[in-house]
Amino acid sequence: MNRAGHLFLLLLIMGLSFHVWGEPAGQDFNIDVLLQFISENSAGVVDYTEKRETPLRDEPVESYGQLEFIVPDTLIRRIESPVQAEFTISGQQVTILRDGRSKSRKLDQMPGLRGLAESLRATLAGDRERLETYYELQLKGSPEHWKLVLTPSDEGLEQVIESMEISGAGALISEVTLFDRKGGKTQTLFDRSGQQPGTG
Amino acid sequence: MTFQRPVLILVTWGLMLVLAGWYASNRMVVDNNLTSFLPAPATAPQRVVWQEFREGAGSRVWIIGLRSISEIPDTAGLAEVSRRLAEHLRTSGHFSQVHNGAVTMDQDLGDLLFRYRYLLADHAGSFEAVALESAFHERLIELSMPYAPFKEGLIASDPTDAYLGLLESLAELSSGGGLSSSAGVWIAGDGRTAVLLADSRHSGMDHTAQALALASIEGGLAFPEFENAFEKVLSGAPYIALQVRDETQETSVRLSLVATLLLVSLTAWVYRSMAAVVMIAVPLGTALLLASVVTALLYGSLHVLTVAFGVTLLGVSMDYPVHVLSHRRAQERLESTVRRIWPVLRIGVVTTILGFSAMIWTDFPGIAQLGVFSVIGLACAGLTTRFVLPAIAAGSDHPGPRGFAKWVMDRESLRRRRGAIAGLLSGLTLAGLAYLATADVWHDDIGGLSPTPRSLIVQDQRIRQQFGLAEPGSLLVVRAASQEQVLQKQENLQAVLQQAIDQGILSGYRMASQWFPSQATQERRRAELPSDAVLSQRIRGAAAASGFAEGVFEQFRADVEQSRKLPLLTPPALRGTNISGYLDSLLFDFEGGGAGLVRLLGVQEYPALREILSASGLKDVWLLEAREEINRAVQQFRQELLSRLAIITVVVLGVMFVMLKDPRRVAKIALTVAASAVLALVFSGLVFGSLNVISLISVMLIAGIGVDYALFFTQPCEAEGDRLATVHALMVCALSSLFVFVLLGVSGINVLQSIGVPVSAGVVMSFMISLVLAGPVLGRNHV
Repeated sequence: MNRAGHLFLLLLIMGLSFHVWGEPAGQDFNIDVLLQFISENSAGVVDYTEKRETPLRDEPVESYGQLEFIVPDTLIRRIESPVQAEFTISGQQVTILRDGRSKSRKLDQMPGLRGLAESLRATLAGDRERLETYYELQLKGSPEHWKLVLTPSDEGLEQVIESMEISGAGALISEVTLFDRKGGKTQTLFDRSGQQPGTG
Repeated sequence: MTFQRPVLILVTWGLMLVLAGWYASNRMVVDNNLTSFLPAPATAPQRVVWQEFREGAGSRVWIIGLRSISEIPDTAGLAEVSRRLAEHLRTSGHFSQVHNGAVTMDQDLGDLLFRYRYLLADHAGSFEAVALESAFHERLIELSMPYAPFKEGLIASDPTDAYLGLLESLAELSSGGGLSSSAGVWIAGDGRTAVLLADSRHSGMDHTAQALALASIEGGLAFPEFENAFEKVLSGAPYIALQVRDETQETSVRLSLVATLLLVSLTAWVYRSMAAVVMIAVPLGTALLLASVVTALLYGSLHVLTVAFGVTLLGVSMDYPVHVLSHRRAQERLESTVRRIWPVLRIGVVTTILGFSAMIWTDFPGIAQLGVFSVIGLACAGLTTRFVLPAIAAGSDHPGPRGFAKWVMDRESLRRRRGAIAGLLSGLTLAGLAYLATADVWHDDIGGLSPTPRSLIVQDQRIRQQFGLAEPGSLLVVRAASQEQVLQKQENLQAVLQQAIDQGILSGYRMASQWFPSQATQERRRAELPSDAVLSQRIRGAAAASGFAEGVFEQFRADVEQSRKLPLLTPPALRGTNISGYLDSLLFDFEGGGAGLVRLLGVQEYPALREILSASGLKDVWLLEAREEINRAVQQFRQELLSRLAIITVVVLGVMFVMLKDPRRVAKIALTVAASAVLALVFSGLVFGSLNVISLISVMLIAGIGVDYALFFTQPCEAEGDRLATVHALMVCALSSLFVFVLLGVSGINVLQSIGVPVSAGVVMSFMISLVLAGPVLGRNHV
């Protein structure tokens, strides 16, 4: 076998292996299956750490706290650092609690933000229809290591967000990365050691 | 060469009719101004509210509801039809603004507000080094918040949040009350009705323009997706005005036609002669035509209600020719009949005119117009009967059969029981007086005077309630020499109102100066902006302390510097933007100066609020509740009218006394009128449950009718034939009046019903009472 033959063989093997790797393990690993899988295990609390890279600063901005999902549609983010704050999205209502004061808004009054709020909440709720109101979905990877790419289709959202990647393994979400149009990037990691969506 | 007198009269009369006819068909304008039937505003705050009522921004707003027929809420479908209609209306050219959801920031408005953020928003102290540092630090924290990607774009140019603060107060001020947004459009509380508010470009009273606006709305909904699954619900001042015009005009025409038909049939049957019908039609037609034209000339236009009111004139002035026809002796020339009865008829005409003149000198434009119309109409009918009838009916004619009058005269029982009946009537009248004086029947609600049918008012209230658009109950009116000074005064008022809020007297308020500061304030803010050198230094310090990169706030620095050179913003700069209508409804020109409205929310204690306001020492700031204010004015007007009536009564009694020189007869006439009026008012009070100013106007009509009946019934006459003629004449009069006023009573228009019901009762009472008191006519047994 000459070099060309080796190369061909190598390509063949790689192609094959890629093919094997790319094929969902179950007969039909797809967005519906994934979302259903996630939603069945999404209730609970998880620790998170977040790192935001922004052109406004040389250093990334770091924060941490907890995220809690309550079936069917309540998502709470408790920020512990740099300040104590709590964001609750329930139904069509957003409530922000900070310094002992609470402020409520209708999601409707905040075009753009509404879509951002739905990215994680609709994913955890397994609501593909709602997710697709704001994003185009694309699933990559295998059940053991998947990546759901959300590309905004909503006008208000599109102006600010380039794309969002939610990745995880099995029913567990391990990381969300948000790419801004203006070069910012937010990476949120969910701590596997603590309790988290999927284990609760 | 001289003309004969009848020829001269006919030529003059004919000429007047031709001229009036030409004017009526070519020049006459019929208006439908709702405020005509408000008393004239007496005080400055009343004038402000009246002006707003008549031509304010609120009077141009169409309320449009799109309701899904299905019970299942379909938010997406509602949003779609709402957007589609809004788009259609915006491009139609009929509306200056169309809102179908919370005020959206269009690009122009957003740019304008952003550019002027440091003049429009209060920045006191926010450029100090410490304040800047803490603001920068806060922005840094926000980078850890979930909304960071959205906020980040604004940080570099607006690190003090001036623009966002401006947007927030604007959103709060212009929020659609009880309406909630769903899928970006307003949805009413029932969850199945999308709500739009469209501001017409034209006055709400401009019916031609509003009819086009309505057509545009209807055209915008003519697509199958809407027609199959939705229905429209309309309201708002322009819509109501259109409806009122249509309904009132329709009703007036219908009433006139039916009344004419009935009266023609009645006279044709009673006198068995078409000539008689013509002789009755001549004074009536002349009266209606001339009264309409002269009133229109005097006022510039004729109110649609005056047109409808013309029908009541038929009921009273028809009596004049009827008397002539009924009193005519066999083979008598008409001229002689007229001359014979004129002395009595004349008293009736003069006293009725005097009665109606009480309406002319009132501060109620609509009612004064009715008075002018009536006085001219009555005078024309009287004069036509006296002078024109003899001229056109030169020949002689025989009076019709008088069988039914003879039947009444032959009632022995009536004659025998006169004493008992008179006693019963007196008792009833006294009881009625007691009822009117003590019972709580007098209501001064403006609703009773409005030409708007009750059903429309109720529907509008229901829709407003459903849509969460209920009018705020109370207002502060601020007046000053200019709009700018109104804004300045409001800025001083803000601290006072805040004090009221802190004390729990008030929950909130909305006024123009909250987000549109006076030029004085803008100027001060502009002057207080730091110089470029100072600001650059502070920015560098604050950025370093909070960890932002070098040069991040360059845009901020440049914008502040730019703001220091901006010309001041005046209200006209907002014209054409999404919020100009909102500003126009709160701040406007008034009597050569400016006026502003402050909408008060959740007022708990009026006395306490009045106290705080008066303690503040601010001049030309009035607290008022629009409805209460209007009702108070109506009440004042009722009292004024009542005292006028008292004076007129004395005058009329004096006139009758001088003309008749018979105190006993005058007393009988006065008794007839008083008893009829009291009993008719009681009847009306029982039917409607309340009486109002219109009831007092009815009293004048009743008095006119009662005087006429009593005059003729108490006329001394010996000949059997003449007595028969009198009874006959009065029966025809009473029947014809009854027809007309019963028609009004069932017309469905508030004001006309309030006249029709008591006057119908008054006609019956006047006839019966004067018959009973009528010694001479019934013969024998003089009282």
